[in-house]
Amino acid sequence: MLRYIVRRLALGVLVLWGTTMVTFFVARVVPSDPAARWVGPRATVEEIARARQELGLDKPLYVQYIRYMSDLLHGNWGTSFVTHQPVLKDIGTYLPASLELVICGMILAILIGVPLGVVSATHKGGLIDHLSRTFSIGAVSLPTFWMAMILQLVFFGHLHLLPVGGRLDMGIQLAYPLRRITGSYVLDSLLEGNWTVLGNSLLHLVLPAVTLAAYPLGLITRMTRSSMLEVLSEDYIRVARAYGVSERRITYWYALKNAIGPTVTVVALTFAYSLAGTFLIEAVFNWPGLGQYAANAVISGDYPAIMGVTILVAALYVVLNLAVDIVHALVDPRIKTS
Amino acid sequence: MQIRNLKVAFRTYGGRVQALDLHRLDVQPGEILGLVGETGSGKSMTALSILRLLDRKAEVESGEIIFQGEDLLKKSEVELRTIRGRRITMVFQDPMSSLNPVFPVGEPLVRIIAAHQQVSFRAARQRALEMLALVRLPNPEKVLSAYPHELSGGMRQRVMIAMALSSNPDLLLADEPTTALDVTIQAQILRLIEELRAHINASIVFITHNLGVVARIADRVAVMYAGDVVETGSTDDIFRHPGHPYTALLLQSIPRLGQKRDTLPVIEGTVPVVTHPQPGCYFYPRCPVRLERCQFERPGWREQDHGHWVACWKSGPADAAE
Amino acid sequence: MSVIDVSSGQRRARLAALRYDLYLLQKNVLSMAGLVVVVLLVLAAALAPVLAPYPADAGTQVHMSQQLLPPSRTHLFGTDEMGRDIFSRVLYGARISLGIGVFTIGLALLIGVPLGLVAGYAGGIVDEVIMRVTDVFLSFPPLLLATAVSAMLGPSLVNAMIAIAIAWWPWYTRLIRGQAVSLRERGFVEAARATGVPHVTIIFRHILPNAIAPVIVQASMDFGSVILEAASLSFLGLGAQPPEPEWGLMVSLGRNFFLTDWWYVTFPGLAILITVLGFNLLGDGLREILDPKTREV
Repeated sequence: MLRYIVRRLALGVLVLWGTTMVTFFVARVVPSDPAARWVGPRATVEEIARARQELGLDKPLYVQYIRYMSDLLHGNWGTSFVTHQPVLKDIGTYLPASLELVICGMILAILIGVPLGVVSATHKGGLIDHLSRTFSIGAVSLPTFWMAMILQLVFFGHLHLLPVGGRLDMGIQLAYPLRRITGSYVLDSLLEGNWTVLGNSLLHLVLPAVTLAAYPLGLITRMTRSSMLEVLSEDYIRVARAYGVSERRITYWYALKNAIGPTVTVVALTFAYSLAGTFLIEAVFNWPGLGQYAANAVISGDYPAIMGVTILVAALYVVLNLAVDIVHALVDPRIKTS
Repeated sequence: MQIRNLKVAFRTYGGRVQALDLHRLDVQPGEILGLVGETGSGKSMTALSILRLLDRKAEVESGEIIFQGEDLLKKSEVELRTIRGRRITMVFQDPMSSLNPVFPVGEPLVRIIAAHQQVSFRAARQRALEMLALVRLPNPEKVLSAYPHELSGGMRQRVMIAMALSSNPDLLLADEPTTALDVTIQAQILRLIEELRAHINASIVFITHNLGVVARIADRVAVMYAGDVVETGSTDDIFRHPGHPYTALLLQSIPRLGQKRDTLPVIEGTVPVVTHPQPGCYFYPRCPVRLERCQFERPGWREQDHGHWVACWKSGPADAAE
Repeated sequence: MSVIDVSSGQRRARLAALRYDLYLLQKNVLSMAGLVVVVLLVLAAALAPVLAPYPADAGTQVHMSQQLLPPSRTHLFGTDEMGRDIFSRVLYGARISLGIGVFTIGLALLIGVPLGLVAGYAGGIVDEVIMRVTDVFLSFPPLLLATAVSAMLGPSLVNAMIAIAIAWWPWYTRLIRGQAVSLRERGFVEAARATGVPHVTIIFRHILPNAIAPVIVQASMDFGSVILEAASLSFLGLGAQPPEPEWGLMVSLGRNFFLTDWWYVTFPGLAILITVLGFNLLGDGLREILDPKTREV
């Protein structure tokens, strides 16, 4: 088992390294002058030249790359051209907001999607089945930015039930200051017993989380359904029935354990996908997360930031893939021995 | 158990298919009945119909299956669940796919014992170990916690047999239990069944297409063709004095050691796909001794000998009890 | 590709199989709905100049006196902040969306398929290198990659399509490589090599036709996703630019007004939803037909 993990980890590191190379060289190819960006729009030629020297941009490309890689490994991820803060610090500031959003959305998607998929499979051809299939394909086809706006229109514009954006109401933020422990408003307020902030932050989470949950929900429902259908047609399920095992136990114990594998993969993949794709949602809901930070970086050519975010996301992908493999090996005893 | 007039059909894209048109089948208490026939003759269907484990596309249209005085076909799903795995158990053909790959082999075994015999898990576990020892598995403790892919084919089938016998059932349905195993293992399993016979008082319906296996292990034989039983009798009677032309041809087509032949004997034609129940004999198109009336009138069981019944006009006087 | 004559019996069998496929497709209500949507889309795109009540609005025509009118009989979907008829613009947007699908997927196939064929056929170090490169591209979240590339290339619809194709090709490479690897071992490849057929010919005349089927299926299912991504990029300002009547762009522009003038955002977005839904339903139905496990015999 350990050898399995080590092998996958090594492969992941290799891919990660390739990613840094690609990002680095691709970003350098961009026809814009980072030195000019750094100094600002009203710089003189000398200032730009000096900046270029400071940033090491006058050295040959491979030297820059080596310097970058060694910095990376020492925790220096560069300084953002836009915020002029260390990129790692920026990531620390903005990541928790995105994580909060994605985790809430994924939990929602799993809690609804898995049972829906299971019921859909066990009542194949029934009304629930048809409805959930239409619904899940619909969820996957939705333009997220559009859904976000429609939700805002309905729940804020017409019903005045939920806030339009942001993480907290301005007033509350000032009146009930929150100590920053994890960066997640929900967790921090929970830890401090600050119920007003907790309630308000949850309220603000609803619409963005629901928007984010749509796509994973569709995929999870579909995958669970098809996986369950496959398992339910297997011989060992028929044997269980032949021995009088109740349908409930067959479905939720004997079948589900076999069927859950592909669903786990889908969950991990959509988690990574959602994390990377939050910028659309963050843009519409004015959510100060990593997505907005990255989108900004891309548009202003802030490539220490771009590099930093890309490497972070790629690393997350690798870790997630590894986690998926491990969970698979845990659930299915056949994998370890192969 | 007595099966009467069991009709089972499939709905498929190409139309309707009559899988079973079984006029009559009896299983006596304590006997091993060999149910033989080619692929597609309906032998597995019969077993699945008894326990109502048929696919969704299949439908039991009519008939009765009398087991211990009650008609199984009239029972509700809830009632059936008390019979399945307790009074009637089944062993399937492929032991690898019959076991859930992500659970240790003991898990379903213990759970089933605990549920059907209403004992605690601990007691069930004890009984499970006893059963595994009964089927001559070395090291039952280890087997109990092993996963299916860690066991050999023969061992897996023994586990299935242990499961089938654990509740001391009245009827055991064995659907080609040795077909998926290689010949030496097959011999071992057959020997096991012979040895266990003394300990259990179940009737066994042993389904197979292998006449050699039947000759060895069965007390009585029922021959199936195109969804119906065409002949039944003691093993001895069937093999020595086959009454039905189909049975006779089957026996003829078995190659024997010491025979000098250029060609293997075959039965002309193929097994028909029946779409609707027919009034005449299903073997009519291929029968070498057929009569005009065979096409329109299916003979009931006619007693050729004591306890030996044949569904053929060429056979003995009509069965008075029909 | 083979010289074996197809007997009439085989031909009859193939016809029967085709009829069965069509029967399955028709049985699935949802796929039929998808097919209907796709057909409607194609019709809308083709007949836009005829169907649109104000075809000039799809271009640079403005009517400043008719800004932001709600839906009415003269303006089915209302008007935007330049007084342009949204219904006409949505119809013309269908052309753009179809074009996006065709161009982007075509480009992705053009890059991905040859790479995958070469990797699968050649094996060894060539295969390893190509697959590692593919893995690196696959390790990027697709939308992020497309955004980054299109930001680098500059905001325009064509650049957005190129960017999406760059993010998309690895999937096809992987898919067709798998097919090529299993085909490589087959008898007819060995036979061809033995008679001295050059590698390139083998790849393109023998392996490609046999390997392409799952790729075609996947590509037709990807139509919807590609259109969605292009709309997302346009929403961010990186794709289509004003005054092009691209649906994502329209939603983006409508954002400034949507709380008071709901129709601006709703209808183009609905167009995206229905189009993508149609392609996905159709693709789903196709997959169910072709996957032997879900076929009901």
